Amino acid sequence: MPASTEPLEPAPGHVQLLSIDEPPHHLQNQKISSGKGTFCLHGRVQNSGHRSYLLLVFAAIAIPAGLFFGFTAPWIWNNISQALPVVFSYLLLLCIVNLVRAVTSDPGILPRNIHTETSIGPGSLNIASSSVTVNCRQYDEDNLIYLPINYCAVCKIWRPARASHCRDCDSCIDIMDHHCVWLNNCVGARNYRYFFWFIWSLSLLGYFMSTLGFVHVLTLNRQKSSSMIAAIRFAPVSFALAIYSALGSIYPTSLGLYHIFLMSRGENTREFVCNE
Amino acid sequence: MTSSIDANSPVIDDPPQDERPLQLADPRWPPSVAHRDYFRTHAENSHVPPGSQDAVRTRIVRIHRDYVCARESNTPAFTPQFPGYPLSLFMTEVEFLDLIHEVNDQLDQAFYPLSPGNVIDGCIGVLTGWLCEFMYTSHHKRKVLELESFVDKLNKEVYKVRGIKVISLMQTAYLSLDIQVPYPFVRPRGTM
Repeated sequence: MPASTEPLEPAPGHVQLLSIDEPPHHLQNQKISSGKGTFCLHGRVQNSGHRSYLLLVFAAIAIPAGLFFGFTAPWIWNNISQALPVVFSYLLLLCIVNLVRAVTSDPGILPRNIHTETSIGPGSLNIASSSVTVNCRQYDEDNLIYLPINYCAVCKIWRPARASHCRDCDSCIDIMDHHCVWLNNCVGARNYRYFFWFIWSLSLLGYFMSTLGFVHVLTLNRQKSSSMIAAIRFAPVSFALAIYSALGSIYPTSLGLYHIFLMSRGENTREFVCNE
Repeated sequence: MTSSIDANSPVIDDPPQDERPLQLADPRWPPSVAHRDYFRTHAENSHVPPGSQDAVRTRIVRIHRDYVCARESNTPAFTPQFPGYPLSLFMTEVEFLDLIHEVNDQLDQAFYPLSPGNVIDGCIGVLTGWLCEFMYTSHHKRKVLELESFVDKLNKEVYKVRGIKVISLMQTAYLSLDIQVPYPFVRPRGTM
């Protein structure tokens, strides 16, 4: 989260109230961040710093969309309805915007060095020694439960309940869901809605594109009353796009349904997988 | 008890054992090094450069997060357990509870996902591809900024004369409510 740190300036005169009177100096966190992220545009855009599949993901969406606008959309516009390509453009816009937001937004990176001065050093291998049990809300008076709060020796903070440290992003993420390899970014508290809507808008885009592609081919088939193979020869790109998007929407759909299932349980990916 | 970090940090006058509030949650777990660190009454100021004048002259009283009250799991909140000395020199328990409850209420308003403001922001956001964020500040953001200005105002009007300061909650990322107290633990002249 962008926040300002306040470096010290000796205030004239008042010795006791030194750090209360100061005007804040805005030193951007992203300039001194010691995690592994890369930042652009004055810290408005961030990503995990590894080599990524981002170009592949973007190409897998943009190139078929471009082909759709070139080949299928004009026919749909002229022959079926002018609204359908417009709806397709809207879905494509949603998909791209959510992809960009999911890739570049901060998943909820927790700042470092908030809780320094503990006796737990970075070399401490014993997990139990850096964990504290705290009172939590009781649901059953007979089985009392307690919450373990862990100290992250890398970030030097007491990690809140659902947070987790990501090795790829090298920072603790608040309510961490998972590190998405396709997005090259963690999915956490602040990021989750962009990730979720990217998945579903991609699925809808896939259904839409495949339906329109098949409509194109089947209408040509009926119009020219030829066999199916011949109709495909009239609109090969549409047919290819239809098959591609039908197959391509299987993975986002299953992931989307999985996340709806997780939402119904009120859980994270991490929590579901680690406690299964 | 002396600080375990280095020879330059000040000798911490921890109060005698019976003055500290009862801290252990689970009686099955014996008190450990980690427990002493989590429940300590005051700690080094991590919000100023280490080794500076400020770091030597101030300590932080850390109020950790609370998981006891029933609320949404994404909502941060702080424990209303009064840490006693040294904060008791600068703030009465009633004032402390007022502060904590006010902060928790404002956080609740900001983070509750089913409040009308958040639901509408979410729906409009999805439909417009989050372009609405360029048009207006969302309910959550507004409430968070209100909390910041509340803490700022409280610092200026009430706490400055006492010599203490609540560190901005955005800066600590709601991980803990840090109250900066002057070290040695005395109020500035004229406020006793």
